[in-house]
Amino acid sequence: MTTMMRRRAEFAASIIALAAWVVGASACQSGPAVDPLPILPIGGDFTLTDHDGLPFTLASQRGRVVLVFFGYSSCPDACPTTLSKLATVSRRLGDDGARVRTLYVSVDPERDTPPVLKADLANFALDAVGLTGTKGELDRVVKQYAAAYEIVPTLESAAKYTVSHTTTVYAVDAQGQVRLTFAYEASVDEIVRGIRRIIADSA
Amino acid sequence: MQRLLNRALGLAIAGGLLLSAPLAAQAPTITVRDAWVREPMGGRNMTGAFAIVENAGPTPTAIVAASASISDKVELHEMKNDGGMMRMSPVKRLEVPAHGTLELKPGSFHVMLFDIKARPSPGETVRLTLTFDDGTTVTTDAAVRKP
Repeated sequence: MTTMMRRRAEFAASIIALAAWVVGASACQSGPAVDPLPILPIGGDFTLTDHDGLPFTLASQRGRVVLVFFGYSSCPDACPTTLSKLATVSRRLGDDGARVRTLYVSVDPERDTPPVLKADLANFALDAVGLTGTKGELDRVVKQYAAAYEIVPTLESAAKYTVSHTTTVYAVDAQGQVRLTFAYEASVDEIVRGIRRIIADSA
Repeated sequence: MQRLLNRALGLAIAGGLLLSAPLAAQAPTITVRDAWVREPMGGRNMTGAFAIVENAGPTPTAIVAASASISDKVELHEMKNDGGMMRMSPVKRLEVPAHGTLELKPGSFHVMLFDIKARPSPGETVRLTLTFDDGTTVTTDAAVRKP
């Protein structure tokens, strides 16, 4: 066996061990619900501009569960669908709903001025803050949360350009740590359960 | 009484012939059913139109244009969840396979209505016309529904 072959064999063995560990770890996670939720290695504090044109920091939300998601006010489908769903979640949470705030971070700073974001959010029965900033500021937050977006010119369309973007909702606990993420397809029930778990964890 | 019955029967037969003859002669190849328009979400002045398009014929076809009573800017679009990235793009054609069905639905292929002239509410209908690649058009009343 050459050194190269041995190295390859060792590498393969370590991959198998890693895979076994990952499978084991995820099996543990589906165990009893009493386990505290892990702290995900994404997110963190940021400063942006809110829908009233004032500086806004995530740090100012300590003590609340915060739902962060990225979108834009001309989004034809995914964003209003998510905002409607979060409005239903808020209603379903009852009194706990007052401990939850949604941050709707624009990935279309050119069109989404604070008044545009404010007008958009006024259509949803939801405690939400629309956030915008310079492209540089927004890009930093997008990166922190491992989200993504892409401006796609559609000159032949009335939309002029659309913004492709991730639709994940990040659930941040009272200490500002990301504890859960919800995919676009997540049901109202799943989100309500997840938020209640985060509230229980921080009690 | 007998005369009246005979007359009624005669009318029924005549009516039946009138109705069935043209129908049998040209059974439509393309049918559009269950058309609906989503009540615009939030404050948006755009929305989607959806339907089930059936092609009973042996030739594939495609929707190449659409028009609607409440918008002058109607486009064919595709929405796609591409590994968590939600993508919206205008498309030139919406293919309907031979002896097949194309379902226009949220999160997939659909018709987009931009710059809506009159905001539609549930209970109303929107006149929707689809144009196919052979030039034929199908017009249908699309019911306005909540998302």
